Amino acid sequence: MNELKISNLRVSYRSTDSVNGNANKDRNPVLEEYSLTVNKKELVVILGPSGCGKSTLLSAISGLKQPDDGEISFGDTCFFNKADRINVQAEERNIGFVFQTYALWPHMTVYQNIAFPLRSRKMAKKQIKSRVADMLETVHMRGYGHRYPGSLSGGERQRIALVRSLVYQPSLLLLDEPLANLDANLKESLIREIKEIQRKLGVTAIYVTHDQSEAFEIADRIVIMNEGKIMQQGTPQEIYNDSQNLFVADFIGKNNIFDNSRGSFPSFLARHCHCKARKAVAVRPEDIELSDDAAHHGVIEKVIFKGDRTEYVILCSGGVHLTTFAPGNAVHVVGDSVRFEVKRCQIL
Amino acid sequence: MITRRSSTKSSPLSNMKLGERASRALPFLLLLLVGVFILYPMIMLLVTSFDQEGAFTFSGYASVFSSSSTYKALLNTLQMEVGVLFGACFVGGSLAFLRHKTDYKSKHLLDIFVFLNFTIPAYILSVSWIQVAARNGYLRRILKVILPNVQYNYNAYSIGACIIILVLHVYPLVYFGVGNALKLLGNSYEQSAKVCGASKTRIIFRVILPLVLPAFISTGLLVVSRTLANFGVPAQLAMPIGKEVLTTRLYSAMADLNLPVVAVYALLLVVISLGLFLVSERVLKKRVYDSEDLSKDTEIISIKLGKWQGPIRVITGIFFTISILIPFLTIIVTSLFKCWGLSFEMKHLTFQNYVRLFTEEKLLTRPLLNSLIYGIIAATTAVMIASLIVYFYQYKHNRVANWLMSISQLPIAIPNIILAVAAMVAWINEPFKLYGTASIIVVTYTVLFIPICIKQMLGAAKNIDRSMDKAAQTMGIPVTMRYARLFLPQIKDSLISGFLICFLISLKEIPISLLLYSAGTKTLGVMLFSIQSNAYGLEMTSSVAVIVIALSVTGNLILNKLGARGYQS
Repeated sequence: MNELKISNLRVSYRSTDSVNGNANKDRNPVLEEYSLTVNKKELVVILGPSGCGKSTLLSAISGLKQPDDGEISFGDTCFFNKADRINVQAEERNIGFVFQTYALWPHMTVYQNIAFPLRSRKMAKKQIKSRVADMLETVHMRGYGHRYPGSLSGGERQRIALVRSLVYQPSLLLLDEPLANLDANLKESLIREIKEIQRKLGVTAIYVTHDQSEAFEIADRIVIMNEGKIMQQGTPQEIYNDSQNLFVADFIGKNNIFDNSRGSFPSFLARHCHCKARKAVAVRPEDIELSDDAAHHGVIEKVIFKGDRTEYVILCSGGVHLTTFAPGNAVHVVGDSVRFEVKRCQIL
Repeated sequence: MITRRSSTKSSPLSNMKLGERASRALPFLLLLLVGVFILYPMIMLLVTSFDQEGAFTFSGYASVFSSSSTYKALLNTLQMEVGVLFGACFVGGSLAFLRHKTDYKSKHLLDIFVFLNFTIPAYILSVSWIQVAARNGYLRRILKVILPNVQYNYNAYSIGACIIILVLHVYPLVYFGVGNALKLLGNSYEQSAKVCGASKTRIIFRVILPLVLPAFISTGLLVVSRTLANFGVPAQLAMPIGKEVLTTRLYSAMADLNLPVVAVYALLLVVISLGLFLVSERVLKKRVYDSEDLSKDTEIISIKLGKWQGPIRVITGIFFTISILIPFLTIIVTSLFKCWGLSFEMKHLTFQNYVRLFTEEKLLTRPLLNSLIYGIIAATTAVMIASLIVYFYQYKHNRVANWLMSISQLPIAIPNIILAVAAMVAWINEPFKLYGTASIIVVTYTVLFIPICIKQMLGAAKNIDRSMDKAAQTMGIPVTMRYARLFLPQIKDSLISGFLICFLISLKEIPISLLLYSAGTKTLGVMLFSIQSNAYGLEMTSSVAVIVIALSVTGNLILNKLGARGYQS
């Protein structure tokens, strides 16, 4: 069942560039004709490079930024509809929002931070107390109630920020790069925690990030965005194994990309793509197999040891470079002649 | 676009609607308020300059620009400006250099003394100047004892005297401003010059001075506009001998009750000070030298004073004796005299002046109370309005908020005396007759205080992560609660320091009270000023001065503890 439905959304910012001394009053569109649906209890990750409009999308959904056109609805409620002149205020949308900067109020204790949204809803004190205790328990931070945000570590702060935006049982949870300020180890444990809590509470969630590993780890579905448009959406597997366009193939993971600007593809791809009209072909490094009896050959140009695997850059006939991985330590050195086979490729 | 409630069933947020509505109307209401109390008086000033009993006239302009007294006042003002600028830059700059670039031994004392100088109101400095240097002053009496044959003929009243007093009052601005720049400079520029083989003098004149030049220029502009706006000092030290500067010329023109002429003088001052303000804004924006990370070494010494240590300490000692010790001593001693002019004997000393101030004649009770009440009301109102403006400016970022900000900051560029004149011409007639009541003083104080409070709060507000307010918004917390429970507590310190700064100004402020007071609304400033007419005698005025100094020093100490943002400028 569709829960969040966005259709034909247009959001823009007033441009402040001055051209020829005159303030340019044009508006810079960030999102145009943007449509997206999110299902109940689903966790959708919006993934894209910085400046692609993903945070703007969250602002529009939450009501912090008023769109120019289009419609946003949630369940039976219409949040925004230009045509019907509906614009529900951010305060009334009952949405949880987790920010990259945590946005904890520094003058309040952890307890007061979490209790504040409940107090403004005039909930009974006793109820507030038990609800806050429950939430602290959820993130294993019982006993932190009297502390101030300033005395917490980054990970602890983000946990508090998370439960603060869940304590009033929002119908939708928005997370804007919540882990961008944390170091790698903490990121990994916290992302699992977020996923677990989201599943346990059954809240619909949109998670914005520019970090692929985060996206792959947490997403039910990934939406790839670039320059205000959706490039592709699907499960992590679909996105990785079946990239539909050049941007996604280049943006997600490592890829050897060949376009047919020269009128033809390298010979080692001949088996896979006969259609010359295609624009480009992408080959994942792991889809290239090095073996002595393979059909094509090249010369090792670079060897990069990466710990769990070794990366080789092979120079093939016609001056084409190909990157591939092999598990474990390096078995080839620069200048070695190798034979390889392309096992699979994605036609874009 | 209209706003509609979500159709979700009885939400617990139903009481939010009203607050949300009010919060939408509030910026417009504030805009109306600052429009009426800040813009309207300025417009009335312009209108008045063309208005001769209802008829359109240029006579005001004609008489101002054809009168030789205008040009004399302009010339005297220029003379005073140049003197004060060079004096303050020399004194403040040298002391700042001593403090930050040498191994001068009593750096801490230096800070304290400059700070004390900063807290003494200029007007009180000139009161003590008269007591020391006038023909019947302490200097003459001391000379009479030591050198009975020497005739004391020094004229204590002159533009030169104004310059000396104003330099003593404003040099701390240069000291703080340039000192800060020297501190931020770090020592890598200097060390790289040293490595290149540059000599010490070359480093000072070719490296350090050019790098702190922007700081000199911006504090210099501040000094110039402060001097331009000052009324109390020239009123006391130059007016009695018939020499006038622009502010005192304006005040004298008031006596003729020729409003167009007064308005033209006021506009002339507004144009000059707005010009100065705009130039200094420009300069401040251009100041973009890189500064070093100072966490490692904060004390950078490039010059060892060596054998000069002693003589320089003597010189600074003499300087502070003249700038602080003598003024304090004379004021205190005078306040203890039974009557000014009596010989210095124990039997002529008394605490009776202080007692009298509050009991017998209740001379001071009313003005002191007035100053306290007006100050507290105006400072509180200003803090409230300023905090709302800053909140809207920070979080709404629309055209109304920008307008609010620009208009309410206008008074910072306008001399106090002009604010008073503008308030007078705006509120003198029915049906909006505030003139002659206490409210005109309170309103004008508030207008004066709002930009000061905004300046305090803006820095603090800019440090708040904006997502804190957004987070609360998405949680359904109404704007009234976000302002009161989230925004205000986070800028609490700047609210307190803003209030204190304004309150302190109201204790020593002269031009606004002087132009707008009436029977029963006299303030401390008016009391201080009336030394001119000798209505209460120097000894009484001095006791008032001692009380004002005590309040001022205490308040500034509290402010210093709070680490108020840029409050020295």
